[in-house]
Amino acid sequence: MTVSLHLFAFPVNLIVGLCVVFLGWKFRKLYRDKYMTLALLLLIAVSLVQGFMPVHIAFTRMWPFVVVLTVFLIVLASRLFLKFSLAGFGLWLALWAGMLGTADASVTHVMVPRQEYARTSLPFTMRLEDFGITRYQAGEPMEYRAQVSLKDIDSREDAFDRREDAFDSREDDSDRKENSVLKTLRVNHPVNYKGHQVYLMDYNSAKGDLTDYCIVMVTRQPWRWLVFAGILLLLAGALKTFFV
Amino acid sequence: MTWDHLTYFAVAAACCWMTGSVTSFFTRKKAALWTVILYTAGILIYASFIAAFWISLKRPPLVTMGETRLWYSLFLALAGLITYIRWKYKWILSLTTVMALVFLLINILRPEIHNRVLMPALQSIWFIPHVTVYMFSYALLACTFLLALSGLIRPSLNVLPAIDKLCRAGLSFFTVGMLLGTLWAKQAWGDYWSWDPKETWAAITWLLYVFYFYLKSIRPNFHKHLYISLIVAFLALQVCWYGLQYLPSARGSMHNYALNIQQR
Repeated sequence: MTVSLHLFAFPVNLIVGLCVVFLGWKFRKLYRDKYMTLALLLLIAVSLVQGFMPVHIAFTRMWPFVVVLTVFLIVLASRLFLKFSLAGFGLWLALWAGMLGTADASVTHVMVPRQEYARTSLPFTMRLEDFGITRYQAGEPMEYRAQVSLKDIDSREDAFDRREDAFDSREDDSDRKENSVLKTLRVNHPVNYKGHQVYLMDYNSAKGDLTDYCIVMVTRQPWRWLVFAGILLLLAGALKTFFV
Repeated sequence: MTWDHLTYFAVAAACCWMTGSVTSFFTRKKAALWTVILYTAGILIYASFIAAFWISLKRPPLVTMGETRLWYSLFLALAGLITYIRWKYKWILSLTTVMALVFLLINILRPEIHNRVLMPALQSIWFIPHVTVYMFSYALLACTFLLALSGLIRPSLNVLPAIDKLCRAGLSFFTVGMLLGTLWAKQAWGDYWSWDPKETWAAITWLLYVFYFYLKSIRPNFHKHLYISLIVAFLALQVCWYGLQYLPSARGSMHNYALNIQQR
């Protein structure tokens, strides 16, 4: 019952999104409060299903939920065509972009070792350079700090490099250093790299400061700016009620 | 300042709040000055405990359930006072006093003492606004719950105008708290929204309060239905706040800061 996300990869999701806008315009008579009340009830019902389910059953990624959310977006769009509101549009944009953007988003967990660059399916690779834990006096951790060097993978160059390796490995090594970027990862402070966001998730706690690897999460969300804009608009709309 | 001192401050604040609530019944029309002074004194005494507790902990007391209950009682008293000054409902102070004292009593009997230092995952500029804004909205929405209950029991009371204002403010604060949470979630967990159980129940609560406003628009005279919808929304809020830990879905919630690997 889960929606196959790859079917909705760009540009299909954009087309679906434009259809939602068109349907909202076409069925402008849905602007009435009674339709919104109904749409809200439906959305509450499917959210409750997820609310009572264990986390690993992602009901929000299944067809019933997605269909109800789409209906809600159409009803909300039809209202916005007749009477625009800041909060309403912010909510609509955040949900619309959040739903459609899921098809283009990716999450990858990578184990980043100290000695060598990690093997990943990403367009870049990482190596752990330094790991530090700052502690409170009682010994509990205050901050984790991982220095990671990031480097692009160019498949052609890589193959060429390997052939070169046989002749002069030292030169190759210095070449690699020049291409890499050194970044510091901390919890709550992700790093942006070429359209990806890199998060520090875990480390080998048995070894502490001397951990031999750290685990990072790499996300790519091309639609995130639209979601962000929607959130800001909704925030502005919510704050507006205090002043009017 | 530790949890042990809470009892003294709580007793002092409770005396102020209770005498304030009683004096509110003496005057007929406008908000009585004595009531306001007494109630404000209670709030200040109680707030000074939280401030001193904060200083001695060397971190904001917002981490454990017991600590958030501290704020809830404070904001509940504050919201009650504002409602009293603005709408002159005499009995609202008694209700908010009882509710604030119930949560204070829970804290005195079961303080859940975790004098834990602030873990890296909670060190974020979003942390304090996210939790305090939520606690304030919970307190405002608790007032709407109390008003809805009174309206349900005594239909002759017209509490809807006050409910409307409080619910509007409460929902706005709730929205702000939720959106601050989404911005934080992007920084900490990689996505604005990931249907974590706490997020799911926050969404359910939010939708239920929005539903109340639409129900009011299409059925303005069905007061009983409106009161019931507010009571249901408040129950969802309780699940979102602390009821969640009794549901099977809560296991693996990223909001569970005691269990999560990332939060070590």
